[in-house]
Amino acid sequence: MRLENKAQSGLQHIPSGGALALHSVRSSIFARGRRDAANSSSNSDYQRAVTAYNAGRFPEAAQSFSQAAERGHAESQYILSTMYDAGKGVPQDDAQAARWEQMAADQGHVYAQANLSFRCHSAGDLAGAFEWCQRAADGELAWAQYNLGLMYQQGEGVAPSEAEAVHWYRLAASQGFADAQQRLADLYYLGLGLPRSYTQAALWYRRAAEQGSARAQFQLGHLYDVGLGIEHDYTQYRYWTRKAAEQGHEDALREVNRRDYRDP
Amino acid sequence: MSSTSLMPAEIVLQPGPNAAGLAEKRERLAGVRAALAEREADIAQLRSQLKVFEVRYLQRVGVLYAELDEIAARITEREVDLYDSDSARRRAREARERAQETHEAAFGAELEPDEFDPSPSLKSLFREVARRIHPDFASDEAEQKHFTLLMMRANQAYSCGDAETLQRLLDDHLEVNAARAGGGSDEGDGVTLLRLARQIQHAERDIAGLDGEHQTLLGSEIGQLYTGAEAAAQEDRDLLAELATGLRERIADAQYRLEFVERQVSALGK
Repeated sequence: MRLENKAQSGLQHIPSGGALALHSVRSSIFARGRRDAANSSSNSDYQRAVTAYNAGRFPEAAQSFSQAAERGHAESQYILSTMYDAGKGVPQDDAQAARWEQMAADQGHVYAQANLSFRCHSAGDLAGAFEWCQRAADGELAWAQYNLGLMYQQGEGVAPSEAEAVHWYRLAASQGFADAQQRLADLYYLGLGLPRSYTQAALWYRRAAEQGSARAQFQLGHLYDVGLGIEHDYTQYRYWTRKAAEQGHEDALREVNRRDYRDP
Repeated sequence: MSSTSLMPAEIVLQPGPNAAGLAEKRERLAGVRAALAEREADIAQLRSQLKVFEVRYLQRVGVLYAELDEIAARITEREVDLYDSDSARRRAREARERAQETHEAAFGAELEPDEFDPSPSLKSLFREVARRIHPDFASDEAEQKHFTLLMMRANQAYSCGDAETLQRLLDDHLEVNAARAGGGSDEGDGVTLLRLARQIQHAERDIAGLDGEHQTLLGSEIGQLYTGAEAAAQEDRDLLAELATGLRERIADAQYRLEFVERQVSALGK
């Protein structure tokens, strides 16, 4: 940010030769290159920091990360913020954590954006939480896409919209995010934000169930039981319901107990 | 009282300091003009280095950003095909705009200079300047050298339509010569001193201006990239190659995501 200002505040009355595209449409393609170069993993302070971190020398790592962070290395800013959050190698310090997180987020670091969204949410700033979550979600972070779906569904920081929730759940689900797969399946099952489809519900429940989501396992078992969107299959019904019960899913536990009584 | 007692001393010294002052001022003017010429050369070199670097960057890295943004735009557009929503449309629109901007930046016609078509007022301003500072009209060798430099600057300003610089060159010239106007070709020592002082002042102002431009150039995004690339080269690293490698990996990821979305679209028979 500082660098851009510097270029703009350049002495305007000085002829710049006309040929250099300092203030043209080009400057953003240059800015991207400069940012990517500054954030390159070959940054020597960053490499030193990573080596120290992996060897468990956290104070040393924190020092090197902070040198790289001071020079605008986004990944280092992000890691430094998590170290301040956890009090790892540095004294725990929320203000420092927030400061570095913000700097990394401003540079487009998606994990920092997601953490900043979470920080805003915890502080009750729902609009801020939504905005940063959206930026991280636009940056393809599945966690953020899922959470943005939740915010749309619950109307947090934004007007509620099931259709928007579907959109974001789907993006996260397509990346294999189990909670999002289960939520998307729920919406298909209930026909909220999109036309009801038991077939699609079964498909997404299965993907989430295979990843260990208890609710999805229970729901998939239920669909097998009643034969909705999927052929009735008693063995599959028992299998998935038991899997959910093993994880302590209450409805599944009740179901398993009732069935064992009726059908030992 | 004290002033009268000083008077004789001043009178006695008058011819001396004037001549010495003139010589000293001439020497100083020659010094600042030499410094100015050096700065001009430095900045011309920096400008051309940046220009070369800019083209190389666009060819090796810029085009990859354009490719990446194009794939990203297609992904978001396919996502709209897959399942329509306001968010999906917003994303697709933004991604398409960005892809267009990047494409223009990477491949745009800006690489070729605009056709040169100066306005009549710029033309006449240039003529006004040129007929005053043309090296052929210089009175001595030092002035000729300086006029050559001014002429170069005027030519450059003219070729990029920079009326402001042309006007300043003209104003400087008029200011320097205003004192001369009445006195014919033989100017008195006092007039010469004043002229030299102005010329020194102009040269110093121009040096400061060039220093500012130098900093602006190096502080710009392309300047910073250039500095970074130079620093990397010192460590036997090729910064543009590193950027290109990183981008190719991101393009491969994006390509994979695009294919994934396209499979989903065709699976749903859309």
